[in-house]
Amino acid sequence: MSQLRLILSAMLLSGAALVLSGCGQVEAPQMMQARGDQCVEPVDVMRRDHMQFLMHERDEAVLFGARTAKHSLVGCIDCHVSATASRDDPSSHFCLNCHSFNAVRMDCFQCHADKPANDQHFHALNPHGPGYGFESATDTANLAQDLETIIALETQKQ
Amino acid sequence: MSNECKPDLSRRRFITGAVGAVASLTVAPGIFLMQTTAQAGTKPGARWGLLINTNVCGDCNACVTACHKENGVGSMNRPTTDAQWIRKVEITDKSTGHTRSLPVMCQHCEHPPCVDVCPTGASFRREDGIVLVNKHTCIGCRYCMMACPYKARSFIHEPITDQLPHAPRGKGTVESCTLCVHRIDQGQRTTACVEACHSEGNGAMVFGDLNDPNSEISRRLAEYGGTAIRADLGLNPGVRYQGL
Repeated sequence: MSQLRLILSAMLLSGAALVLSGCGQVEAPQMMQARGDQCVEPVDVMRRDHMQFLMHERDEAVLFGARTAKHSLVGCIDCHVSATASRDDPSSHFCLNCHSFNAVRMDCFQCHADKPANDQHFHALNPHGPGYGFESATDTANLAQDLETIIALETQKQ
Repeated sequence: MSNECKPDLSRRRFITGAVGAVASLTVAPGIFLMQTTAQAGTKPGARWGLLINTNVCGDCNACVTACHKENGVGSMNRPTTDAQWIRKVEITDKSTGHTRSLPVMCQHCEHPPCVDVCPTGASFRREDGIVLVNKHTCIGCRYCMMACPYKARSFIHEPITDQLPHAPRGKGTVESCTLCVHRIDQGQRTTACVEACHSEGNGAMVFGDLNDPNSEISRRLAEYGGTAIRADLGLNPGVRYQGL
């Protein structure tokens, strides 16, 4: 009797081993190439912690107007998502591609734009982008139209 | 009138936003691997506001069109529920028949009723005086819409897909004029409506810092004065009108 039990359990084990050997590794989704040379953080840090950066800095940005060139959702999208991507087709969208693979639902794109405004949009820190070097308000302040100066000039002319 | 509340600088703010320091990682002289600028956030001591001269404001619609284009506010072809960040209001003195047309948007009150009634703290006033909705915490209860005496806020009833990167908008949240906060945070000192009013309209609007006595808006207010709509409520709005 005990011999039969032994044989049966051996058969079960070998069967399970056979089934398992048939399963390979699950293939990771094909991620699209980012349009910059380098991310704002090392890849492993971004994979693990991107949600922390976004969650922490969204409050800083909304409540206190502290917008940094690093860790902005718009910045991520500017480099990683093509202007032709669509949230309806997750395989064309960097964020949604991985999120649907991992079955992690996120609701960022219910409100936020899911793609850059156009192809010329790059992250402010991306050396290929027109915004490079003008990453903060202190820099853009010089470039920005200052209405008060314009009005002052106009009144001088008159 | 101008005993502005100055919130304490929290420890977190002090650490994250205290300095406009540039942190950089250098490989070789002149070559930066990564460069970030910690930005201080809102301009200290500022209170942004608008001044609208109704003597000059005509019957054009440039500010409304420009605002809605700037922020991607589109129509769903349902006028009763369409979002409306700014609208033109026509007022008539019944005894004389004298009419005035003026734009009305969020008045960015110093004591905003929408902030008082918000159950989640999503409706808030920034240190620089801009009243905003934090859509991350807005639950869409619409108390703020009821509380606002200026009817400045709108609710988004339907899913939206074509938002602009700088103006997130979504179903189930309340929204209103942000005083073009995305421009202000970039260091620009004008809003879409003011810009359009100067380029296409009659130049009736001025944007500026109400707390800076040398700004154009303060100089004009000091010289010609200005009134708030429903000044009797004591909300001290940041939007002022002339000629009413």
